[in-house]
Amino acid sequence: MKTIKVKVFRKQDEIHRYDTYTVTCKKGQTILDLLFHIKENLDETLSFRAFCRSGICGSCALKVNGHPVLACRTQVKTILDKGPSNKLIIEPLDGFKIIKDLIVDIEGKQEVLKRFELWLEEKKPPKNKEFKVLREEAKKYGKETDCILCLTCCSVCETLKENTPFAGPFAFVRTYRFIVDSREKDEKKKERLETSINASIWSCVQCQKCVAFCPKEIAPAQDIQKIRKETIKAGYTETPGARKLSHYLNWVYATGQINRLYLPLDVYDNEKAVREFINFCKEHGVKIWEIPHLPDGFLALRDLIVRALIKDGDIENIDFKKIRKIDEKIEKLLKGDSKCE
Amino acid sequence: MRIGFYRGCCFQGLDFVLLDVIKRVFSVFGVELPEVRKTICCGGNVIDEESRFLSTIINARNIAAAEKENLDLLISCNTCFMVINRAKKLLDNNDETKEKVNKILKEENLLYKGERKIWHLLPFIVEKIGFEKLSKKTKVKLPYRFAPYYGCHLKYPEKIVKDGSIERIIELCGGTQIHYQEEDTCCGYHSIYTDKATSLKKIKRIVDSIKEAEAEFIVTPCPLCFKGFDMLQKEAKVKTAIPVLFLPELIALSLGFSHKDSGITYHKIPVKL
Repeated sequence: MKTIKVKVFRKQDEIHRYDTYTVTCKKGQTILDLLFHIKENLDETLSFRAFCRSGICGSCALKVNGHPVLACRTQVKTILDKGPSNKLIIEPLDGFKIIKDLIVDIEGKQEVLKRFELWLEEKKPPKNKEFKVLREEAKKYGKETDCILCLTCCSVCETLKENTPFAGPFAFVRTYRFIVDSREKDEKKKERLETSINASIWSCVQCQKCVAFCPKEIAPAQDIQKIRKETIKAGYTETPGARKLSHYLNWVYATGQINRLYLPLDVYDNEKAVREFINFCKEHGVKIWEIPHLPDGFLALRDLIVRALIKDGDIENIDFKKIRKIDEKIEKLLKGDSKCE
Repeated sequence: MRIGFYRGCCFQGLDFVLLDVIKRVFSVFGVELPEVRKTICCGGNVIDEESRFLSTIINARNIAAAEKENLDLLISCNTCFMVINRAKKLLDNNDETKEKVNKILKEENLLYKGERKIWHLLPFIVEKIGFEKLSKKTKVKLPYRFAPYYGCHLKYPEKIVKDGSIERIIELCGGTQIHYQEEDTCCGYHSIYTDKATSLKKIKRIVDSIKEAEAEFIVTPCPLCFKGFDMLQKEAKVKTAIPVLFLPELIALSLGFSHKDSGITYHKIPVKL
């Protein structure tokens, strides 16, 4: 039993303020219990969303001491043990319009759900049979089916802050879940990839905040990477992101390194950037290189990459014509005809 | 003290200078940095888009190369650290993957054991060199206002650095730490080649906030964040460009190295002290 002061964000009409309540914490008490205690005993005007109290409905996501959590799954003691004792600040999620107090407007995200048609569109099952989802397949999207649409991922998303067409991590978690479901119609999968491209899937900055804060321990940033791969497989090979991945695969295969001199050219056809880079290096008396620093054993590395891609990946994504050209440069370098770091 | 150095892709061309600065600074504290020559690009969290297994095996090989030389591995880039650390965790907790990986590594006479530690530069400075040693060696006070910028991959998905580490180093170098609204915002480096417009907005958001807090320099321990801030501010149309220091450069200056040896003469945004 400990008496603490809780600061709670309040908003009514257009006026914002923080109210402070003095409460006595009980063992096992959650942030949601605390909010109910305040509402029932101290201030009935306090508004917040909550329903299942079991971490299933996703409606009670909010911020405690600056970090997003599910109120029903977070014990007051855990928070107090982490930070300066007796300090508890409860605020609505970032990145949304606030309707009242701790309640944010999620209508825009409901629209995303509709636009993405995030439900299974089934093929016809095999004649006189039911669909069978084998354990191996279920493992691929088991975590993703845990998504409770709490929108924590959107509240911390660095891309959403700048880029409104970006749909938000949750939309891609759910998209991935259906793309890898063997019951879904093939044409629907294609449609989902097109929707993902249109919803700026390549704009994700991969900051990993959604991975850090997802209360269900899903890794949305990784699902985004998996969908990106699927878009390339489906033929969207000319997006900057697809060309960047191709650069990484080819150059790491050939030399063990990416090549920052040619990256702007390979991704954006930007010859000017290459020239500027060269000039900048010259100005500062730094050697220009065509092949970056070759690590020891770079040829054996190629075998390893091939073996790995045979197990998981697509060996066809290595552009062997391009590798021949890089090899010519390496040959020159090894003969001493070219500059290298 | 000896620790294997992981070079990664960060020190190509002009940024070769940054590598020299790290070596110079560490030698002052008696830390030798032999380069583990077999290590390659970690895949930058991009190879993962093709295959998580490929990314894991590349980084198992990077760690195994250091293990073969009985060395821990020092990584200076936030993203390299995140990616290599992710592979290490996966391998240390999944015997099946470890076995699959080691079967392939065996062809190069390598073995991933998982016995050596991997370090990011900042926690290494804090924990292995220590503030006391750092304080004793500083010769030049730098009485400027510095905005610390940690970079996402030191904090997310896993926090591997203690709060206040850069701030403490700034103070030891004679500077003042400045806090600003957008200090936890991502610099957007990883979208430069997937969606540049978003990257530029991120740079602008952070730099404008730093300007508002009236800092004179940005300090970051991540060479990618460093490059983003140094190269893109003009294109991002920030109100006023703010010079950025790679953390070892700040330490080099306070250790009394010349501007050239501290690396600051190679910046796009001039560092005027």
